Amino acid sequence: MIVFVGITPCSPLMLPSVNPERVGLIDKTRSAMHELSEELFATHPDTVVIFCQHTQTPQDAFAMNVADPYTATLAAFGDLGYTQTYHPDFMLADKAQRELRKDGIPVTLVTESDLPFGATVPLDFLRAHLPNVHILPIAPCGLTPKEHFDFGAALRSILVESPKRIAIIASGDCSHTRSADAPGGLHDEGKQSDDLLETLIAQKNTAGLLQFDENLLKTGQDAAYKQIVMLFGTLDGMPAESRILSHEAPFGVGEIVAELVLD
Amino acid sequence: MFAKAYPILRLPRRFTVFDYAIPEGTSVSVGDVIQIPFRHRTVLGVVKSITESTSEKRVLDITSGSIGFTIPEIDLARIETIASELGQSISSILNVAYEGLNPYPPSKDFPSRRNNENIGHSKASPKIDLETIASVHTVIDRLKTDRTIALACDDETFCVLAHAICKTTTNQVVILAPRERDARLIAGMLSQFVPSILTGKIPPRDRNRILRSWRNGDTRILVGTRQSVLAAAQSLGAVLVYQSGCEDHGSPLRNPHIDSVRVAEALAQSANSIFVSADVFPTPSATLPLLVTNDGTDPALVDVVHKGENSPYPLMSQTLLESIKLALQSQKRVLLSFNRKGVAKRMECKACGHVPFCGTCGSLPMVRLDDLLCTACGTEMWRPTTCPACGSPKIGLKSIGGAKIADDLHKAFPEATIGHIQKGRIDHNANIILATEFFFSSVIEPFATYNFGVVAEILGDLSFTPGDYRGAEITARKIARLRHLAYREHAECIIQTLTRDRLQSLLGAEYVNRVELEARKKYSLPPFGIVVEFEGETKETLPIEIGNRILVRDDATHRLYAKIDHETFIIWQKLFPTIPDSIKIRVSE
Repeated sequence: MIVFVGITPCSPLMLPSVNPERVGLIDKTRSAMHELSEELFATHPDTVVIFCQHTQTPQDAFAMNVADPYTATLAAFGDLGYTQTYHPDFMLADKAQRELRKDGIPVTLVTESDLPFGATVPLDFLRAHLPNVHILPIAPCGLTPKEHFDFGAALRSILVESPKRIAIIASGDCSHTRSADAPGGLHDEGKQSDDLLETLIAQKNTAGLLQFDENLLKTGQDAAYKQIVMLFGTLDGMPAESRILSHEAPFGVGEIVAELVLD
Repeated sequence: MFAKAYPILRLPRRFTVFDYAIPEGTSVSVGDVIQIPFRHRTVLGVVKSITESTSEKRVLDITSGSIGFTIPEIDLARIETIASELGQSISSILNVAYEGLNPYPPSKDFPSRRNNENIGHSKASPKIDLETIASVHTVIDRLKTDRTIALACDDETFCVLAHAICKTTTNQVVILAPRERDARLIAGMLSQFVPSILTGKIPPRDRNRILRSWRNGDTRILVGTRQSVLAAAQSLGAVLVYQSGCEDHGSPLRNPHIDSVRVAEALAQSANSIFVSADVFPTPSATLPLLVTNDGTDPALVDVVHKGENSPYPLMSQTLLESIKLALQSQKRVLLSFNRKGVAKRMECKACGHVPFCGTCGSLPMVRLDDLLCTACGTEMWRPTTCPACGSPKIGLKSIGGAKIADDLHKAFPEATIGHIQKGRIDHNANIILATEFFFSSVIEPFATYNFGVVAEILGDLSFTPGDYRGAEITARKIARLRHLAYREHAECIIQTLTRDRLQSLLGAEYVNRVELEARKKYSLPPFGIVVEFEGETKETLPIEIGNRILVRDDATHRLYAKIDHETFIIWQKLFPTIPDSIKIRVSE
């Protein structure tokens, strides 16, 4: 049963231990993440399925990361003391890969015990009150947005039938070109892309999302689009109301926090 | 019609009541426990109020009407107050209070196989001396005039008092114990009244039965831990708190951080019942009059730094060594209390002052003979021979631990057996017992005899913890505990100290209570003021308008705290729901 659906950014700059001096600039996003974590806690999920980029992602298949335990660290971002461990939902991963393969969806299992920051950062906020929750990270791939949507839709039928209470999170930073000091430099397409993405999420406009201008995404260096398309796939046919909790880009990278409230 | 209901579920503090439509033909009243849909599942909820309209756009129907369990309005109001004071959601407090309650009434035909475990087992009749009986008579007489008292007495007197109250009252009696073991011990002594035990280890099925039976008035005596004082009773006659000063009544590690003693007091007030907060030295209270039954054996205070007390063994005075020797010669045993594990308090570099901490979790590790052990995460480390910070070889042991004392006792009394009792290690039969707090919380039992000839505290000043205003209170309680034990065992009581005058002022419950209350009033500390602590990584986002008070950061704990008066606290309570759940709020009142 799907009980919670949310979209989160994954910038380590949201964490005071990584960005102690300027973390105040991203307060709005942090507050939204705390609110999202409380909403997630209220649903008491058993498993969190998180769509995020892995370190090694195959181009032609969706990768489910199964390792026990996953170790989340932030050493690459200067926080040497941060270590968290998470455990996978083996049963769900096994059932999902079998069913998806039966449906002809390209899926592969990978084992990366080091959790990527795309999962580490949002889970740091979201798991604050859920110490025993299991996770299942799934990565997007090089296939088309339609195929990502179909993957999400196929996954939905498995998750809905599961007796477990499952939360789905799409984790990723939007465009990386929102200011001159942004990782991708300043491009107007970045803001256009983020604004359009926010509108489409707010309207829950799946058709619009699938027809998103590729040039905008490419020039804006968006890294959340595919995860959001997968998430919309899992919502296919389910009544849900979109709630944008925050959207800002204090460090030149678009950060959107949203919840899709299920009826 | 619409019902405003609290889900019985752990929820963040900003979650309050939820509106549900009442289908036609369903009868629901305020206080009824009903089934409601919540976040894609069905949970139990408590009806707060019933309205004719709602401002919500979309409202779900309640799943089913009353499950045959009602929480009286007065009890619901009490739980709302507790939640408000703690800065927690009402749902979370209800979840603790009614954990285990389910929609299905217990079947009388098929009682749980573990049913018998939840009723206290009878113990062999203990020997009760006349003095204890006289003390209990005094307390009973006093309770005729003062319905609520703080009682300074030993565990044995409390057990006899509990027995007397259970026998004389026809109403329900709840006895709050700090730990499961204590609840079972007390229930065992009251077995003739067939008490029910309600602790965290009771399986949900039995919990459901006990809660319903307590609510209906079928259970007359309930002995338990914190849930027992949160649950609603039918007609409450007395609330008794065992070891009310024990920190396990309000463990900060357990969420929600409920101080069960305060909850018990509120319960007694709302039911207008007898309330007895008993301990060897109860927490000083501005409202509860103190009644002292007995102060125990007068202790000998020994200044360990006095020249005449020098001995070859550190922290072992000549007086103590002589007393131990005499006790052993008289075939008596010795109890030495020293709450510090390992061979030393810590390692420290004499050159740069560096203290090695656990590399995994950052806690201060226990220093063992050959290595260091982190008691927080279990990591074992080599003892460094040179300072990890400056490379100096001047790194060494600082202060003395229990293992070192035990080692010295072996040398001083080679013919005696030494038992070092600490968590996970119990040696009952040794001639000399060196005990940590574990001994007093988990080993020692009321009415048991141990054949002690000497009862001593190795260093009475250890509990003067800097930064904790309760240091004197805790120290006074530890001394009183030893004095009572010595009195029961007809043993000599010795308290070694570095600050003799300070400890001298902590003898005598009545005097200490008065002096402590005066000091706390002067500095606006509880019970005259309130200390609110905030802890969490996002503390910098605390609303600045929080009473416009300067929050003080405690460098040791990295917590923000403030001392405030009761009026400011009422304003703060309204702000608590706006503070994210990631920030923990602790209130000491």
